[in-house]
Amino acid sequence: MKRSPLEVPKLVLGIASLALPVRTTRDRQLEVSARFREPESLAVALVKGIAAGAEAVLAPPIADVRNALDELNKDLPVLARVPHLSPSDDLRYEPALMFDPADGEDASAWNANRAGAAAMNLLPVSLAGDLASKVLPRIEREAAVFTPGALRGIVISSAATDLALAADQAKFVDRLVRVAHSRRWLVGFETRNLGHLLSRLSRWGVAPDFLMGALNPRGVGMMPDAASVLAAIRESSVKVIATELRAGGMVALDEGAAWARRHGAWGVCPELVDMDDVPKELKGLAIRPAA
Amino acid sequence: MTPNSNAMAESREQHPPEPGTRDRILIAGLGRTGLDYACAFALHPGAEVAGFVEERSDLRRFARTAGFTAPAEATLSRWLEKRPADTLVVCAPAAEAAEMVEKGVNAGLAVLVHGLSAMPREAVDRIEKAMTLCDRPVAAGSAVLFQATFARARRTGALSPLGLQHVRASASVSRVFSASAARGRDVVDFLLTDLLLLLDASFGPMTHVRAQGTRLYGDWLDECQLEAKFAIGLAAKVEVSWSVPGYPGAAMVIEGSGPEGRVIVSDDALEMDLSSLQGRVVAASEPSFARSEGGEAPAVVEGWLRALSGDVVSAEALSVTRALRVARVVDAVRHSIAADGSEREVMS
Repeated sequence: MKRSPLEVPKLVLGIASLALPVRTTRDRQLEVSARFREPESLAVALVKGIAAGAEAVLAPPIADVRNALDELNKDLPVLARVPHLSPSDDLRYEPALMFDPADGEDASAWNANRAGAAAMNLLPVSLAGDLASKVLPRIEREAAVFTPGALRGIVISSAATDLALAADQAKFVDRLVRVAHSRRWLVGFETRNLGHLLSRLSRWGVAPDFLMGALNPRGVGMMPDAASVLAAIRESSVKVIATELRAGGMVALDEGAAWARRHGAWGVCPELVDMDDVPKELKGLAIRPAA
Repeated sequence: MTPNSNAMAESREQHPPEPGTRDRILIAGLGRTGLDYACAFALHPGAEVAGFVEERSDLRRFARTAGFTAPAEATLSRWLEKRPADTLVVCAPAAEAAEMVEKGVNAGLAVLVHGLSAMPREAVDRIEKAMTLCDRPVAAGSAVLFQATFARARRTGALSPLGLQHVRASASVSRVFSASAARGRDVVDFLLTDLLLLLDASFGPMTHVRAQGTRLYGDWLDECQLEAKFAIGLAAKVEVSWSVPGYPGAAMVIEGSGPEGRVIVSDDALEMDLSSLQGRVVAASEPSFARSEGGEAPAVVEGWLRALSGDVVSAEALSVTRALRVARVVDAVRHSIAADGSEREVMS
């Protein structure tokens, strides 16, 4: 079946807060986590969210999400947030992206992957590969958690994006854009350093389909500072989907979304923790045209 | 030992920063935290990542894979033979950290050590001795001391021991269920250390502890309860657990009460119901301190560079003296647990 070219969505429902720490109160995160513990309740929220106007669900490739999607008899449009790193990766000394869970956790295991890793340790440092090659197998495997009919694209998680940003790796973005487009996926890059990344992309001369980063009236999470982020958005042609719209709970969702759109955001991505009534609040965001 | 802030002030006189120059950062230890520091310094206009020292070739190779092109060597000596640096940031495991600090001090570098309070006694003693001899700035990095609401509580005096009679503190996180749990860690070094740093920063040195530990899932400590006595006469009940479901990020709370009223500080909010201070401040409302986000390093990096420029508040948050004190409290806690909860004096 031939697909039409994919449009960058203007309203995305984020559900990463089910598995990852987000900027909200502890009570709120626990409440949302409890509300969507059953796959059926999450599935209902996702279906209603899409019906209310969300054009895609930003989803980590975790069992809870997979189980919820399995409850449905139709595909929902998904942007897979990959590579998925667990909060408990901070128990390790090594950087989380250094390992692929497919290599196995058991240090005594001797499988093909481990044999390859051991052989790599004999190589000089100068023969290191690049970050895109390192994470691509993992990205492809995690994206495959979602059915091909559902998968609209991938959003590279901030752990990988911001590592490439700090290391000044234009090649990382360029390579992932090429790979994603060859599969007819949209490709976005989530970042916790939106101003830095927008500036860097201009210099690099590469353009992903979109970026996702904090944008809200209080400047919460806008790095290096709110003024720099707004200036970078004005000067860049890269589409930005705004996250952290509620500024950690300090502003109303509709106020945050309207502000982000007014200040150059192409789209908005409210998280589950931002909403009490998911379909109603998404509908409110969907019907408001960008200023 | 000269307090950290004094060492910094003295050092500024000996090595005044030149306007427009960037601090050349040498990062020792390329684990997760070392890479966090590399990213934070790389995104800061006041610094440049000059290079890396890491014994393990797989970690050096991963930094190169990530795209960092600064030179990396297996040993600090080899790196310093070839190039200059201003600051050594030590993120290596405790077993290597002490030697790194000693060599850095001998080479005349400023030294920032990450995770000093969680290091074992032998490493702590060596690092203290080395830093005593250092005439350049020295600091102990810990992100928790830059956390917005706790920093506000200290700044405003909301946690002033005057008027507080009862103090309770707790920290919770979900980690023990992970396949990576107990890779040489337990709840004491993973969680308790940070809470003790906050308590020391709020109420001063602890003198005695009485602690109990619980092993729920293996040979390592999963929960810990302790009573800490402070030099000012205050006592605090402290509980930490890394087996609480639903907490992907650590949650810390310090609650104090007395005739003056009640104050609760958590990483969510500061709530004050005191005769002298009233109100609620949520964490998100506090202005951002760092210039980047991601991992444990950005606030420490900002604090370090501000401290080098003379900011005494940042220098205080990076106090080596406090980190060493807390390391000794942790040592006393472990001894108390091993002795079935008997009271232990904190070695000075």
